[in-house]
Amino acid sequence: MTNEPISDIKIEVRNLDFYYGATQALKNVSMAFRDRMVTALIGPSGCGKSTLLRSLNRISDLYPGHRATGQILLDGENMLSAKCDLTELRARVGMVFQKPTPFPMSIYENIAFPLRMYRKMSQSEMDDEVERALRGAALWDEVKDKIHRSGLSLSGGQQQRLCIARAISIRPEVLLLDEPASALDPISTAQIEELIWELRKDYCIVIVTHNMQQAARVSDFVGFMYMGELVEFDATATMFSSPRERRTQDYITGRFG
Amino acid sequence: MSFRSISFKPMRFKTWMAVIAGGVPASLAAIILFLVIYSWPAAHVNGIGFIFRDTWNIGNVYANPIQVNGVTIMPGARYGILFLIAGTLLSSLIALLLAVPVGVGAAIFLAEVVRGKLRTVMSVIVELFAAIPSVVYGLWGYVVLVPLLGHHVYPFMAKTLSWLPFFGGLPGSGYGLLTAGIVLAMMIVPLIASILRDALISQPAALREAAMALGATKFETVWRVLLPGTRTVLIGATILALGRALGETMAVLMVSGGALNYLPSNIYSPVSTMAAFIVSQLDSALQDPTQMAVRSLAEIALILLIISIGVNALARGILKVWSFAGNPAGAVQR
Repeated sequence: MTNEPISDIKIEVRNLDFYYGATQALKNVSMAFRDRMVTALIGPSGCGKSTLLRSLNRISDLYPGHRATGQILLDGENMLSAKCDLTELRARVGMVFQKPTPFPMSIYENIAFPLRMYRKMSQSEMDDEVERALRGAALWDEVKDKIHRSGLSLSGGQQQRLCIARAISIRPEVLLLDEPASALDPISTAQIEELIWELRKDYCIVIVTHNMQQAARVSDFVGFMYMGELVEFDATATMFSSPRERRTQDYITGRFG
Repeated sequence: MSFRSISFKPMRFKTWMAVIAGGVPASLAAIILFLVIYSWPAAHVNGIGFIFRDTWNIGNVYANPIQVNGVTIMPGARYGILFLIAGTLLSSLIALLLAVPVGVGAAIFLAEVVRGKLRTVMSVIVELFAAIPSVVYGLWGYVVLVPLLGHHVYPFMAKTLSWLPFFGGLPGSGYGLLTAGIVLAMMIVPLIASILRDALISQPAALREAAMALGATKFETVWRVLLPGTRTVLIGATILALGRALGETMAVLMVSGGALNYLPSNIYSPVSTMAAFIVSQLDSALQDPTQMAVRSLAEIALILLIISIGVNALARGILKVWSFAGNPAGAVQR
C-alpha cells in the first residue's frame, strides 16, 4: 500500500488541547488525516483516542464542560471556529459508533431520515438513494426483501452495516468509526473490515480500535496515543515492524494496555 | 432429612405467593360479582334502554310501591343514563386532547431542554402535581377557573369561534363540559409528563449522539428519533390517564354543573359524569324504600367499570397493532 501515491490531506489537527472541565484529555495533538486512506487511532483506554475522534465532527460538543483550543482544519477551514455550521460539518463528516444504533424505525426509514433532512426528493429518487447507500454498506442483498421491517430486527453485524449505510447516505467526505466492530462476532467483524477497505476508495476514514490486528489489517496509517498525547504517528507497516518509541513497542507487543 | 426440608421451602413460598398474587384478580372478580348481583333487579326493570334514555327519575317516594316485571319499584320511577355516558366520554376525550400534547411537550422540555439542578427541581414539582388530591384541583377549579372562564373566556370563545361546531351558542356560567375537561387535563398532564420524561431519559445516549452526528438538530433528534422509541410508553401513559379521567369523581362534580337528563348542546353546557353522578345522587337515592334507585346507581358503576375495561382493552389492541406494524418481524422491542 505504501507504493500508492500519497493523497491529499483531508483533515489537519494543529496543537489541539481538549478539556473535560479541569481534566485535560488531549495534549497538544497535531496530526493529519489523508483523503482516501484509513488512519487508525490506537492506545490504551482513556488515552484520548476517542476524544480526538469525537472532536473531528464536534459531537464532543454534547458533553458538558468541554473546551478545545487549537485548530482542526477540514479542507483548510477551521471547524473549531464559532462560525462553523455544525449541521454542515456533520453532513461532511459522518460517524459510526461502537454499539450499533439503528433508529426505532424501518430499515428504509433509517436511511431516508437523514436524506430527508438535507434534500427534498421524489419517492423514486429516495428509493434509489436508499438502495445506493445499502449497496455501499454491502447490506442491500441481505435486506432488499425486508426493507420495511424494523431496523432493530437485524443482527448486530447487519445493524452496524445499516449504521454505516446511514452515515454514507448523505455522501460525507470523512467517515469516523469509533470501535465499529468491538461489539460484533468474528464473522461480522471480518465483514466490517472488508467493508472499510471498500469504503477507503471514496472516503477519508478514521478508525478508533482496541484491536492491534485490526489496525494492522485495515489501516494505512496508525497513530499511537497515550495519556492524551500522540506518541507516534506513521505508516502502518513501519509502525508495526519498527516503532521508534519504546512505549509504542510495549503497547503493540501487548506489554501493557 | 435436612435435604427434604430445604426442598419443601420453595414449594411453600410459591404457594404463598400464588395466594397473595391471586388476591388481586379474586377481589376484582368479587367486586364485579357484587355489582352484577346487586344491580340485577334494576337491570331487569331498566332493560337495555338504560343506556339510551336521558331520564333519571326515582319516582314518587311517598306513594305506595308497585310491581313491574316482578320487581318492586316506586310509581313514576324511570332510569336512563345516556347523558351520563356522553358526559363521561366527552369530558375525558377533551381532557386527553388537551393533556397529551401538553404532557408530551412538558416531557420533552424536562428531558431534553432543562439541565442539571433546574431539571431535578422541575421534575419533582411535576411529580408533586400528580400527587395532589383531586378535590384540591376541584376546589381550585371551583374558586378560580369557573368564574374566570365563565365571565371572560367562554363569552369571548362563543362569539369568535361560533363558526366551529359546538363552540357557538350560549357560553353558560363556567360550569360545564369544557371546564371539566380542563380540570381533568390538569390532573393527568403530570401523569403523562413524568412517565414520558423517564422514558425519554432512558433512551440510549448513543441514539441521541447518532442522530446528532448525522447533523440532526436537537428538535429533529427528539421528534424523529427519541420520541418514536417511546411510543408504547406514551400510549400506556395515555391509557392510565384516560382511566383516571373516566373515573374521576370529586373534581368533576365541583366544576361540571351537574346536568340532569339532557345532553350537552355545546362544549360550555353543564354535564354530569357517571362517577360524579353516583356521589351526587346517592343521598336522594337512599330515600327510595324499594332500593331501586341505589341499585340503579350500582348499575351505573357496573357500566363505568365495563367502559373502563373496554377502553383499556381497545387501547391495548391499538398498541399491539401499532407495534406490530412498526415491527412486522415480531422482533423484540428494546
